[in-house]
Amino acid sequence: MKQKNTISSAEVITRYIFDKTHYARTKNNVKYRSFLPRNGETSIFRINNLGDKQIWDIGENYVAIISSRTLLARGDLIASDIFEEGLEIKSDTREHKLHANIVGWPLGERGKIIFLATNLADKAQLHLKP
Amino acid sequence: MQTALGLPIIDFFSSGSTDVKFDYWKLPGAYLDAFLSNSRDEKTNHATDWNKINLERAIDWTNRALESLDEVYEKCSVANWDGYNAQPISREAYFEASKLLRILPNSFPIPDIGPEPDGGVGLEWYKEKWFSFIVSVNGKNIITYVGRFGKNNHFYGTESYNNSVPEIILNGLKRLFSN
Repeated sequence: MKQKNTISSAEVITRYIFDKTHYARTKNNVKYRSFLPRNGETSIFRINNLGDKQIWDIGENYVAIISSRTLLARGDLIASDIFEEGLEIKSDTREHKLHANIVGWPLGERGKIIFLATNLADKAQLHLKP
Repeated sequence: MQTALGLPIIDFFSSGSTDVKFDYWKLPGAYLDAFLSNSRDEKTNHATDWNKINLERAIDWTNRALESLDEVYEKCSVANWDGYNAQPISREAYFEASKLLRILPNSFPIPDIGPEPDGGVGLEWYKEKWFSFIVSVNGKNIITYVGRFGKNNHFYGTESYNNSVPEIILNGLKRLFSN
């Protein structure tokens, strides 16, 4: 099924996590660092209506292998969680049809960027890799 | 192994309390205050069981924090440490974080230390959802801070980095841990 380029508020998205300092197992939370942008973008995947295995498979086959990192966890958000912070989601299907980026980060405003990332982290649901 | 004040490092920080007997009267004055405030019965104000004292605020965590920073630096001094093309932690950011950890008051809990994708280092005090304080350095002699004290109560900004902890950061940390 072809994905729409427009992301609706109710869509579920995920950020795959490869670094153990990007989440806290004991407090069951995602850390702000996992959502900080690189070059103005935070890479995410659209996972609406996907089963858990499919979601982890995307992380393994399209992110972990390419970056030679071990997939440890993921942080799930609803698209509206992102829109509420004044950020946008832009579909970027060059590598994968479900890939997108969080964009609209206030460039040059490091304090505000960290603040927005902390808000996203607090809204995110942590899932540990089985 | 000893702390900067010559106190033995005992590995029970994370639990917040311990069943180990402790030679409390050897503590310096400032630490003793922290001990006493944590060791009184709320109703009677009598000293409580000395075998169960909250030591977290009373122990110098500097060495432990510096070890943690070293681990982060070692692991993240190569590009793409996060799988998303992160920059390696810069040497300058490492030294700024190291300096900051040495001058932060030990009366606050030990921060969680972690790498940031622009090559910076972040120190985070996370209390609960919507309650946290973050201090970030990235090797440019600027400290970025973010304080959140509830869902609609926050501030953030930057300060020049000299040889002291900016007042706004100390006040933010006090505010976070006073509630």
